[in-house]
Amino acid sequence: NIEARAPKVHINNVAGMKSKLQEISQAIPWVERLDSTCDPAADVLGTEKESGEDVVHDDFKREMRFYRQAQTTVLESIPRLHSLGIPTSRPEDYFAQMAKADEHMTKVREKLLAKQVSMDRSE
Amino acid sequence: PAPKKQKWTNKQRVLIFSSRGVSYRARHLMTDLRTLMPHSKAETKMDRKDSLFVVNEIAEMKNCNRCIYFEMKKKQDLYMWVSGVPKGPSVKFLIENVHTMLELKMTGNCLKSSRPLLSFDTTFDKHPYWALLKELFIQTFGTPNHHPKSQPFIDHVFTFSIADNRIWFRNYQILEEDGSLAEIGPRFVMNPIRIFEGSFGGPTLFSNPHYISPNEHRRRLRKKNANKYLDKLQ
Repeated sequence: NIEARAPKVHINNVAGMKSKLQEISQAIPWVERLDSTCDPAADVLGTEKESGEDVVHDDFKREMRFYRQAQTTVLESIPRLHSLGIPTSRPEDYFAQMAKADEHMTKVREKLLAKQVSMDRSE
Repeated sequence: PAPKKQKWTNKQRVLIFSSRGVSYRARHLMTDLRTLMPHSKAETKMDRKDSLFVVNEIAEMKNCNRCIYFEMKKKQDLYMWVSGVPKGPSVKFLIENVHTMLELKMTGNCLKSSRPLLSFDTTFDKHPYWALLKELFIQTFGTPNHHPKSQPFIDHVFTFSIADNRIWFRNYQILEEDGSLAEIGPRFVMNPIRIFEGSFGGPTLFSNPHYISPNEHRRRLRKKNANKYLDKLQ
């Protein structure tokens, strides 16, 4: 005899959200924000034939979709950055701290190599 | 000649910190975000007993107008708040499938504090709540132009895509300008729970009808597996 819980009421205050968006949006040039909204680039490999629920559970297809979305952004934004005179590649003699340390990158490389070797061996 | 001083006008500052008792994985995710966002500030872990409104005061003392706050329930469910500090809005997410930058399978690398490009799915324009989240993300994750700690080159992309009613975060390095990329990490999935009008509180603007709490999810799994043996007999 458990009392049935009342069904959850979901809130979707569209007017409130729109006014909030108005309130926080800034009138600043694109250089400050660097955002872009786009669909994934057309896929060359033809991996994604059927879309929908499947894409979420298929790791490879899903990651490819994200990858292609990032690609579109890059292809769109780089000419835009160049026209504004912002460098996108770093010169060879420019040294600065990286997000991942050198030790970490050597570990990554070692792992890749070990994987390659084991793949070759199994063939 | 000395380089001309450039103007740093967009003064967004983001406070990134957590409550006590987050797991090592959540802590690594937090430090990854800090390394990728030069406009972020750190703070010591907050006591879980304090109410969330204290976060507002901490952020104000730190001079921050955006805040990312992590908390963990039952030592396994990670929640993340993203909030605009004095006036809101704030969002609570459940964070799933975390992979940090320290993992060895992601091969990319970028400058420690270069500015990211922000890439959004077109689904972000379809509903007002996605649009609101997009604006909040641009202002939180985007590094302001000419920020003193930032590098002058742009060499990575933050990708936010929507699949399965969740937001998937990926970070790619730009290898070549023709669009070949390598993943840097971290990876995580944000499942929105609620959007509030104020900062860490206030009236709810949106609650996600697709959200199932992790407790409920675990309960359903247990229930599904409970009659395994009996089902087999029949």
